[in-house]
Amino acid sequence: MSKSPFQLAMQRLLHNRMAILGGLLLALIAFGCVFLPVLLKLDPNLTQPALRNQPPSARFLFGTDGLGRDLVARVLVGGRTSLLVGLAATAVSVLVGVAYGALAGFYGGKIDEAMMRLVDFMYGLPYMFLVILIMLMFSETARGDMLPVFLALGLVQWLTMARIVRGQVLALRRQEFVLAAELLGVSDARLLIRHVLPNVFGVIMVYATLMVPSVIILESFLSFLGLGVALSWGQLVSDGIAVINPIRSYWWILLWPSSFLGITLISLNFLGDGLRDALDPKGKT
Amino acid sequence: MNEELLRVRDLSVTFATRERSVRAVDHVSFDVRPGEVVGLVGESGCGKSVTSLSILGLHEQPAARVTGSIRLGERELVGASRAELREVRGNRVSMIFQDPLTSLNPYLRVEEQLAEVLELHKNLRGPAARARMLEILSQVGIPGEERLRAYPHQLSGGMRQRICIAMALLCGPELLIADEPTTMLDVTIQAQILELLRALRLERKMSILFITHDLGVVSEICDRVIVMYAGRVVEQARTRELLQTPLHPYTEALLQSTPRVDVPRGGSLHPIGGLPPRLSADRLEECAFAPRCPRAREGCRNGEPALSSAGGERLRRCIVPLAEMTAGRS
Repeated sequence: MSKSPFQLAMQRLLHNRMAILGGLLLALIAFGCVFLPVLLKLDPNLTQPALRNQPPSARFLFGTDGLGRDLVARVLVGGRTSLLVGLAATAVSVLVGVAYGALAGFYGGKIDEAMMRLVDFMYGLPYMFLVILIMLMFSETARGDMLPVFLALGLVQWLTMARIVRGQVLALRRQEFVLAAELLGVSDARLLIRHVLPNVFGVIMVYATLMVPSVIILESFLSFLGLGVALSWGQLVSDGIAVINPIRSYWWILLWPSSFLGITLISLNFLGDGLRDALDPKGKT
Repeated sequence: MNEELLRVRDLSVTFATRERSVRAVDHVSFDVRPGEVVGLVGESGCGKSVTSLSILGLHEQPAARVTGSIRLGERELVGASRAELREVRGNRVSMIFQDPLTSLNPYLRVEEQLAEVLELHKNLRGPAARARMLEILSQVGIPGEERLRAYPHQLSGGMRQRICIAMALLCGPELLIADEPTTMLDVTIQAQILELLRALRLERKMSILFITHDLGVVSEICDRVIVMYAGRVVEQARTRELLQTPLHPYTEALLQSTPRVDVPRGGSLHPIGGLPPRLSADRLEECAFAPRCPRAREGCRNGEPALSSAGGERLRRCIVPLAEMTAGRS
């Protein structure tokens, strides 16, 4: 049975140890965050005033925080938010960015010019202000709702995706096989969807994978500033930093969320690098 | 039957760039008759590919301005709507390209690429489409069903070019435009592809517009040759006559710069000195080839010579007397 270029790429990916390690760690963390709190009936908000600032022990594997809340529960539940925000905001930016970039690159000329100037303009805006502004706007009306976070982060991140996709599509548009398909009478929509986009898919996937960690960091940063909407790793790190002082340090409160955050980010980067090598073995991009 | 299949009249293609406009094709006229193989020959940048792309309407308006007339049978193609062009493309006129390695979509199986054309133009699907695909593949010399399931990267260059030809022939076009289809292939594969095109043309009574810079390939396959220089037709003749007695100094120079097996080794090749002129939309003050022409003379500076008959169907754009061009030849 003949293998498609995509299947061949997946085969190459499976030979990349770091990427596999990254993938496994991610799967483990995702599984833990999604299922363990339910299976073990963990409550991240249960306060136990008698058990404040307990160091890690057999009863509390990760210790407890200043209000006596179990850190295992808090880290796992916080991970849900971080991962969900990472995935959802990336999905938003991929959707918007790919559609926008593909249209600009495919039609080229004046349309491309106009569309890309808008992107340049938006690049020029201080995006952190934008995000903070959007979050503040929504935080009054929809406290606890995560949709504004997805939108705010996604709408900032799509610019890069649009640029990358536009460049790729522009180059592919003039490739002979696309020209050949056009000369055989294939319509624009079909040309774009069937002949151009599948060839950009690899690049999109690589950048999406690398975008997830940057979105997670952004969200953590927002939470750290107190602009988060739900319990997340960023918020936990912020809690942890607050209790670090020269006299008495509850190091575990900071250690666990930052370790989880760090491992997740590194794993995603390994996976993204592996994907890039697998999908583009000649190192064209 | 002497009715033309393709009738190109006064075709001009002008590209407007920011600084100036470039006329890549300048009042070109020629015909292709049914079943005929016409060669379009010239250096890089002489306008041969632009001419062929105009036939299929592949220039983006408004960057390229196409004027004149291109008639395919009864149908005018200059100024035709996109929908009309789509109907002609791949159906009545097909094209094959220079580089078979990049002419196929790497993410689609051979079968999927072929099926797309059949579905588009003949509304053929399922087993009927499959039967047609197998038939055409065996015609281009690729038997066997397993090739249908192959991806392009699993096929060799020669095989991919055969697939491209199969794809172009799927709907039984009247005209095949071959844009240097053998340039990227090695000599043995080149000979096979030429043989294949020759056979297909006889079998299907299909016309071919063969674009090349290789006069050796021209002598193999073309009935008639149109020589282009700087976007103009400079000579037009039957292949044999053109190769034996070129009547334009440019054709002559092209022939002298081509290695031949019937000339003893040790003889030297004569490359053409200088570069082709910069193309502009202005009228020329002199013959476009004059600056590089070994036979140039005073009269060549007085405006561009007209394309005139040189006996029978032969046309040339030159003022050097015929006797001087044929002197020393049999």
